[in-house]
Amino acid sequence: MKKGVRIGLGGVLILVLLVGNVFAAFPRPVGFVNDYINVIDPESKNEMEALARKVREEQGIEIAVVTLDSTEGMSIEEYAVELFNDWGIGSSTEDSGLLMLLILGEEQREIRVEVGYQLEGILPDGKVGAILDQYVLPYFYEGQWGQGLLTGMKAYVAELSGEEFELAEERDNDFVKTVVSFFILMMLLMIFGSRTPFIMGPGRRSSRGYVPPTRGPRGGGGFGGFGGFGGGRSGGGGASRRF
Amino acid sequence: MVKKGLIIAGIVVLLLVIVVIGQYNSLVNLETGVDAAWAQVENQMQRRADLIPNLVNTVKGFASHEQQIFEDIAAARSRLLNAQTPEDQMEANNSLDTALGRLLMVVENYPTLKADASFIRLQDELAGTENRIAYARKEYNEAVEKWNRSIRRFPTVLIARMFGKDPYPYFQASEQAREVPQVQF
Repeated sequence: MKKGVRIGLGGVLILVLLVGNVFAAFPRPVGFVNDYINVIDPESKNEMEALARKVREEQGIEIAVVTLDSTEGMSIEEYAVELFNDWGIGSSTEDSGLLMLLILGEEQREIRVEVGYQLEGILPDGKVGAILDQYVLPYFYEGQWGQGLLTGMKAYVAELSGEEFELAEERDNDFVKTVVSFFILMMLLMIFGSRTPFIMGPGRRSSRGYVPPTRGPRGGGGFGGFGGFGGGRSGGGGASRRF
Repeated sequence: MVKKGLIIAGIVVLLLVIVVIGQYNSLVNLETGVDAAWAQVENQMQRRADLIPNLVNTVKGFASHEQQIFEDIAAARSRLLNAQTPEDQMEANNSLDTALGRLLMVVENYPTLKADASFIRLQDELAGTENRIAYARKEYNEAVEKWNRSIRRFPTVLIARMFGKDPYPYFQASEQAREVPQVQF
């Protein structure tokens, strides 16, 4: 009888452990952009994939975009750092990753940008939050999820490339102007700066001290696919917004 | 015959020594892990303490008469900076959590402050640091759990007893930090 109870308890324990594991399991990455709930329009998705691939090839920085409908009872901060480290976004030697996690659920509408260890110096939490306020949320208020994520990603990429990204003191007023001029700048840089992008911007501050690591394309993938993340880690840096 | 017995005894002793060394080293690894995890926690607590004067000064610019809360924060902060043992640090950190929670509640009454760009930036930095503390605390507690388990388990318990190894304390999050702040009138 006692033995039976013990076996029963053991079984329950194993079950709990198994369920716990299933509970904590994260979805597998399918690319740089992981739109699990289908809220990103195809144009934005393609542009983000292309930009993320370019940034990885040229700077060794990996950017992941994820959309989900819940964080399974965890806070978005907790979920983001666990997901970041589970996927290993960024190279394992440099922890140079960035995760943009958008949660759109019945009761939960949040975004978090989680920053890898290495990028914390160049993307401090305050700046991460300011970019969310200024470039991402205005699109989100209009339900343009893809456009918001794309604009945010461009802002982070510009920041990571040492480009001075003007954070206006007054928001809304200059918002359209800034976005438009930013797009023009991006276009110019894409056209003229394909080999050494973002280096010629007049606002570049060399005192910033961060020179993004340049490295060749990895794995010889050429135009090839995504090929998984590099094993980078994060310690909880970044910023979140509820909307 | 006696010689053979001695050789066998010698081999047994040698094996035992090897096992002891192996177990001892695994304990050392675990303890180093705990120390490293704690250093990370300290690091992040320090980082938050460094942020606080800026935050307080910004809030003071808008809400200079909320004197009591500024004093509470200053007191909790200096207690944290002067704490000697990990237990003191944990406690001081938790009372700093409470004081900061109250500060952010007070801020709710000042819409212009809430919308101030430099305040928002500081608030992001503070939230980020708190998130880092939470993550470092989790890693620390995991390391402590491994340590505490292995110094109770056989055979490492023998080695731990031999070298006088004690369990480490867990770092509990403050109750207030998890509660939703209540506004008092």
